[in-house]
Amino acid sequence: MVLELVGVASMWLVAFVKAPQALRHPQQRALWLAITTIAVAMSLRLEGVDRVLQGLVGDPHTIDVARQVFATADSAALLCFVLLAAGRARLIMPVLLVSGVVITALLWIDSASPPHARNVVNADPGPSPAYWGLYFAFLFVADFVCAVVCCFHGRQADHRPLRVGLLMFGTGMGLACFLWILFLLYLATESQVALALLSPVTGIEALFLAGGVLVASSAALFRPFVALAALFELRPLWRDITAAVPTVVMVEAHRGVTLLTAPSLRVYRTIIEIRDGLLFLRNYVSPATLEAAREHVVAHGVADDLLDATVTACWLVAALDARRRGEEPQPEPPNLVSQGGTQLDTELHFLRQLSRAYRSPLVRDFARRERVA
Amino acid sequence: MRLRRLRRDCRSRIRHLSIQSPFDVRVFCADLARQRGRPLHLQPISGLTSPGAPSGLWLATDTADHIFYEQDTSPLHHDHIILHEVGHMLCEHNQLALDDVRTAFRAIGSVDPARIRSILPRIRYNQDEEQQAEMIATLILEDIGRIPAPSPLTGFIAGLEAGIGYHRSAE
Repeated sequence: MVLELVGVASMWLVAFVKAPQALRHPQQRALWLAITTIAVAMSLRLEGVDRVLQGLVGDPHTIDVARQVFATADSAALLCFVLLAAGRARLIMPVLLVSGVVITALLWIDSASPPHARNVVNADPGPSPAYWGLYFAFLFVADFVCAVVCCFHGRQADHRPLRVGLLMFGTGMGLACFLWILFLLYLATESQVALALLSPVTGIEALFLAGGVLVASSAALFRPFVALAALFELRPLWRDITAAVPTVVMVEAHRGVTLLTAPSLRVYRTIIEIRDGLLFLRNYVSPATLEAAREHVVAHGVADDLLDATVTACWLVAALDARRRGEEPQPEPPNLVSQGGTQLDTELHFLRQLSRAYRSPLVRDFARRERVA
Repeated sequence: MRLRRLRRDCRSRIRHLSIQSPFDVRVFCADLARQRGRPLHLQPISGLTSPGAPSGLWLATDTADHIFYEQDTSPLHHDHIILHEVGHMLCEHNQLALDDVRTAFRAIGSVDPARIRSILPRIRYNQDEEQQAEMIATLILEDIGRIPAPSPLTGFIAGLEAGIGYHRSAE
């Protein structure tokens, strides 16, 4: 029961964190819809939820039917996910029509069955065997197709998170197939072992499904946190540069709650304002200071990949000092073209190196020497 | 202008733009030029940024648009400077100043960088216009960062990658 609870909670977590991406990217909607409807169907199967809903609705049979309609809908969403991945979007409408027909047929069989109070496998009496036959067959086919596709093609993925994510999701779908077999086994034999396995298998299935989606989309999901970490690291550098050159700050972007609502916007603004500030402050660096910075850094045996950032940090502290002293700009500022990158990641990497170097004893030592000179 | 309104306003102005993956500012500007029906020339200049001067500049002649940008900075910063000027173009800022510059250009008869520097102080935008252009550049860059790098995979696995939402970083 605990395993099932944890599994269902993890499915809701995935449904919640994937919602913004699903809204933005139509291709991700089918999987998100499948995850969400699976989470709903699993939640309706939880004892506590079932009890609360019975108190609210008063009719347990309606709750059972709703759960089975959601489960059928999640299978349809899974088939849509597979069809979209296969580039067969034209087949989505027929699949949705078939799903609609299956749901209608289930409701008709249910109403035509002998009177029964519940639609659960251990109810006596329950709906007619045709109900369970159609229901489990549709769910099994959809889950089996999804499991085979994810496991077979997932192995071909070139990146480990994508490969592991798809294999985990495929395994989760395989466990779902096993679950439907357990249900049928119980219906056929009333095996208590099969009944006892239903809850843990549901929990493990949910954990695999949620884990697979989380692992595969971790890079996209964790981007805001990576952005916040970058902001934290660049903050001292940004603060000193913008204090010296306040005109580079786009004031509005640093107000309010943008840190939480738009962390990537704050990262871009921080990068651009640091870059604008560097362009401005290089006018306060003499060729002699730049040469002294290079010599100082080389003399301290700084690693090659940190040379650019450390030299920049040295001339930056000298430029900030010169600006504070009210010195005149230099006629020939240094060229910064080789530093940074074409991509956000490489640019951020360089500025983080610069920020670390800016706070280092080596650069503080250079600043002291320059002041004395 | 409040941030939320500024973002909403700028977002609506760039909604029609197509941002390719991988992003190349020159391809982006060529597409924009085709949409506007006017050639757009990108011209790097070294040492454009002196204290008090901008790091980029948009000039419109009778027949073409020119964006001059400071080349002595990182490639990502180049892109931002160019996109900032694109922001002024999209918002059609400061038409009066541009008409004045058009006159200057007819007199000059060429796009000589030395002359460009001499007319820089004649380009002035107010604070709201600067913020609009800056926000447009930032939003385009933000969109570019959000787009995953193109996948080398094809067939079923490429579809699964897109469907599950895998974000491929540029390598």
